[in-house]
Amino acid sequence: MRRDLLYVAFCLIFPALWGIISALVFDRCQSWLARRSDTPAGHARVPSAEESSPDMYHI
Amino acid sequence: MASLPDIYEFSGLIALGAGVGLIAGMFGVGGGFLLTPLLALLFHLPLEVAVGTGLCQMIGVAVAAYLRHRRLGQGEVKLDWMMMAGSLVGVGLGAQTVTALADKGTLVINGHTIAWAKLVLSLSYIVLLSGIAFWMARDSRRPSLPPGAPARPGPLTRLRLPPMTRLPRSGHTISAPFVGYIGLLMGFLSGLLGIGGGVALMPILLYGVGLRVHMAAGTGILVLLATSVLGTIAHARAGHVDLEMAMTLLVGSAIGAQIGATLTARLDGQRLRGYFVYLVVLTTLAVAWDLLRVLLT
Repeated sequence: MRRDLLYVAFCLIFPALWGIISALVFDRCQSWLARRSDTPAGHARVPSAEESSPDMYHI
Repeated sequence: MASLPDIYEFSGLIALGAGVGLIAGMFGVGGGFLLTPLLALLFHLPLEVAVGTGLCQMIGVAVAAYLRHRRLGQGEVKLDWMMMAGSLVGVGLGAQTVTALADKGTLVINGHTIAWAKLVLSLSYIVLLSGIAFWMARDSRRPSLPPGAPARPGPLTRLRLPPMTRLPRSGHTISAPFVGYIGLLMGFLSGLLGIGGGVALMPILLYGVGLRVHMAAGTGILVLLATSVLGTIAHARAGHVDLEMAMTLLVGSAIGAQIGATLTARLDGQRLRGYFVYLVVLTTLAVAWDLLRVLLT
């Protein structure tokens, strides 16, 4: 019974949690790729504090 | 040497695969929602085996669709990733439901014995196929957006279950946990009914989220690929996959999809949609008749 309840809880929580985390990771990867394509190879610049987490406002 | 019934069955499977592939090529759908009930009706397969075999055949369809859409660069890939875990949990739940129904055996209704799996799955198909027919008929009367006009956000984007996330290609904002639950629903339908889930996802993306048609069509392919692989494994473990049948169907559907794609360019789209609605209604009636036949005779 307890195992069943845990399974139901997992089925309800995991998809939502994954939705949130994957959205955050996707945005981070996209902004990282965008920054990487803006910068010439070998001349990486240090992003500002605001730039390093621009997608916090997306999620 | 193969016996005559084998040859008939082989030709029948190739023809069914080609027919479903033709429809898939013409309308850009996977065709699983037609293939699985028709497999059970025409080849007298238990519905749970038809579901597993349909999902196995779907892997081939999903790989082809993934390669095509990757080349075209369509779809909201972010939505695919967000739905992934939910759909994988859902497909497991769906397959477990089918196995539980098959293990439950039979029940007696008005003195007629019927398997639980057949009753529940047939009723689910009737509801699903009726819904698809209704949606397609309604959609064919809907005026399409002029090219270049911005797509308006759908009602699901107004659901404020935080945190919200922005879709990079369409620009709409949607609740991240809610997308996870859409994946769960899609996966459950895949595991339960052996369908790709695209038929359920398309109306959600088009009318619920407000994506454009080509964007909605390219979304969910990664999920389709993952659910068909995991669903096949889950059903195979319960002995519900006929690999030989799935391979034969795949050969037929590969041929049919090519013909379908060529024919679409030459035929009137509006008329095609009309034929498609008739076909779905006909399949619904056939499933309903098959269920009634067991219950009444």
